Amino acid sequence: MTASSRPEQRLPGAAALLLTILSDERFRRYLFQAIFAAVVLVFGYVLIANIQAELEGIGLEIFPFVNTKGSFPFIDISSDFLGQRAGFSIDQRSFGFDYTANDSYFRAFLTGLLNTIQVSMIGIVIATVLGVVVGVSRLSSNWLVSHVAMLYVETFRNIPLVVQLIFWYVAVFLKAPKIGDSLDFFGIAFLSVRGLALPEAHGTSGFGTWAIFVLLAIGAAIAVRYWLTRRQDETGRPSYPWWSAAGTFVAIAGVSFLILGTPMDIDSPEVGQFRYAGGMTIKPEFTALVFGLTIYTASFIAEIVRGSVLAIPKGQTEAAEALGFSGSQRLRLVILPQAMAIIIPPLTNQYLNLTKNSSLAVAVAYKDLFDVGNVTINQAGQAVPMVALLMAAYLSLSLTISAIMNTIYGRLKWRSAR
Amino acid sequence: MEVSQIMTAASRPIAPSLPPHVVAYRWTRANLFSSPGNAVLTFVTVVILGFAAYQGSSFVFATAEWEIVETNRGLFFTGRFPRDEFWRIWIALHGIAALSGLSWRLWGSLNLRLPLIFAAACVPLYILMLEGWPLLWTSTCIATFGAAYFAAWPIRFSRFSETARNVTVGLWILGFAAAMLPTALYPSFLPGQGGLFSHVPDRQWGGLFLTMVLAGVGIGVAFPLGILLAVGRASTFPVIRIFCVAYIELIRAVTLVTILFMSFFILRLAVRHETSVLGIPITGYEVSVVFMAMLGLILFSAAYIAEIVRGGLQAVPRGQVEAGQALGLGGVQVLALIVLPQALRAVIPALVSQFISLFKDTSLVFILALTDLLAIARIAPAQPGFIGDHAEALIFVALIYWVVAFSMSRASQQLERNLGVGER
Repeated sequence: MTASSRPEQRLPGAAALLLTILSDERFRRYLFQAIFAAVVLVFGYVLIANIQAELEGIGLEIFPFVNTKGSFPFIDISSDFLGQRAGFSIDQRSFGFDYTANDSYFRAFLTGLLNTIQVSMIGIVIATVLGVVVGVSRLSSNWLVSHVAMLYVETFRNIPLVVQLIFWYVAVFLKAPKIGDSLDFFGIAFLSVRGLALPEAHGTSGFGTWAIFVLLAIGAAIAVRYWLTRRQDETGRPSYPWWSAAGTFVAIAGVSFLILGTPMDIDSPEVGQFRYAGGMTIKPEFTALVFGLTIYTASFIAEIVRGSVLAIPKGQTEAAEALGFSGSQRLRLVILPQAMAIIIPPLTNQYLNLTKNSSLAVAVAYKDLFDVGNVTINQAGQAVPMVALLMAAYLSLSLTISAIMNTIYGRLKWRSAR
Repeated sequence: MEVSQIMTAASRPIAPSLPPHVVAYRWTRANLFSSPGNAVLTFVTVVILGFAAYQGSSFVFATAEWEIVETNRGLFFTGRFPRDEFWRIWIALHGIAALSGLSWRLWGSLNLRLPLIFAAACVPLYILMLEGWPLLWTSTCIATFGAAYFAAWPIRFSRFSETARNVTVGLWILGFAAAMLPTALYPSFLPGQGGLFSHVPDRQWGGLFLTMVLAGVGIGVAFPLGILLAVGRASTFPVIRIFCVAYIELIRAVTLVTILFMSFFILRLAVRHETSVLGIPITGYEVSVVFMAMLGLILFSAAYIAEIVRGGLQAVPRGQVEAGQALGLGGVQVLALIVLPQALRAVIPALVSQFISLFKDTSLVFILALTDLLAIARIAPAQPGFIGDHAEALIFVALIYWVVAFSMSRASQQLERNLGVGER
């Protein structure tokens, strides 16, 4: 195949050698990749050098917190802007994390990160429940129910999330009545511009003891489920492991609760003059964000659930029917376990989307990671390192969620393979 | 039509001779009250639906003050684009209408359902928006669409249809480039004032116009870029594969707003700086915010499109590649003529839903202080006289987004049918 093998081509030595090398498939592959790598590297170098030069022009550095002269760990946040006083307050805080305006930018960043994690966790749980309900409704044999579910999906899926978020915030929760005329939900919850007031549970004296009993109850429930599942597998007779486990838990936790003399206090909110007394008040920003995120994401989850159930071959349903399974048994024991394997990968994507979409909190003034980053950029003027930090934070959040969901998926596959 | 629908819905053959009320009764029994549980469900749904419908219609027809939309329609559609230059937008729209009409006839089949749904959804827009010049322009746009459609009528099944399709594709690309070129080149090459046309700074672009430009350019550039990335990821060159995987995974793990910020705060610095590489001087460009927003949207969407196309590539059987090689086709030819057409056809629904996402994501440019459609809806209720009319403005904007997104999803379903996906 080489050029020199052709008789009519008699070239001088060096040219022939060059042609031989060039016509070698393997060499051309290396050459091509080397050129590609060189172009990428030069491009990247110019990019970074340009940014550095531009920043130097205004007296800034790309990564002020990277200590090039110092020793391990090479990162020193106390000396640069991250260690300075932030000076802005954050009125939403999660997981009991403490922050005041006197704290550093870095602490503000952490507060934002925790707020993002909190709203994502709550959003994921609610969106999953709502999405499964809507998805199953779309498959309902009831014409009205399936079409209402379709209307829901087609409406919320086709309107940008930001539009929905701003609508919930500006046109619904900020238009709620003044605190004096709070909407009263059976005296349990109240809604006004001040926020959504809900009852809050406080532990009293015997709470610690009761917590131990609850742990015991969980342990007992797991044991009961394990034992009954094994018996069911061995004998083939239904022994209702899940129901029995739930019963065990309720029995132990409930009886100990009563014996200890109700070691918990429900603190109900009351309408005050300017704020709610007692209970917990959820700010309109947070409520709007959770509403928007869950309603939007649920419309996608509903389609995933529907698609996955439809992807199960019809023969499975018919076989279950032939074995005398009831409608709910069919769904619970035959269809859903198989659908789960199809659902999990796209569901993971939706969880990632929800977490990333929570950055749109900036539109409803909820102090999440991105919003805090935005304020920091405006105040400290350090856009480049801050954007890099934000990207790194979202990258690690995404990787964590992926890892968790992959673990669940792996376990699921292992179980169905058994 | 109705009876046949009812029959399929009830999945029970009914003799056509039955009187309509019996048909209706049986249908109701089968679909709403088949069991006591279903009857309760129907009842509860009716109550909730009735409450929502009552609340919704009393807002739309009684409480809402739609003047904010009527007065500001110019803002909603074009932002602060100068009125004297509107003809540019209209010329572009006529070009799009003509090419759409051609394409529809050349690729599609005669199906009036989609245009009818679209027209019906647009009725509120017509009522609120159209009078005077816009009405005239819109009418000529629709006429152009129809003319192109019927002009292409005889070509569809003639021996020129293949040529006509190629020409149409060429015209789309050409028109796209012609529309984009001035924007892309403006910062350095076109004179600011006194050129052939006066310059409209892109800070003045706004409203639906800006949204459509962002979405159109985003889709037009991100799609080919995404295909390249997908092919790179499937390539046998390890260096290229690693680069593509790294790019795709990195972009997909961060959020669009951070990428927009990166584009605005970081890449703009890099583009601005004058430098030289290996002695070759590179000019610095003061690039506009709209351009950086486009770049951010493109960089983001390309990664997602690449993942979708990768799925399509994996679905093409290996035998297809081998058959192409056996016919003596080279690597690029096998890819362009055999693998990609099949791969793209297999993933049309996912691709279109990604395009819809991109269209919806254009609403995020508000963080760069651009006045797109959504930003107008946020600004308008601050005007004296319309203070607090947020709901009206947002509902109007949501309706526009919905009409476009929904039409796109329906169009993809029709395209899928026309290309016979799933049939062989």
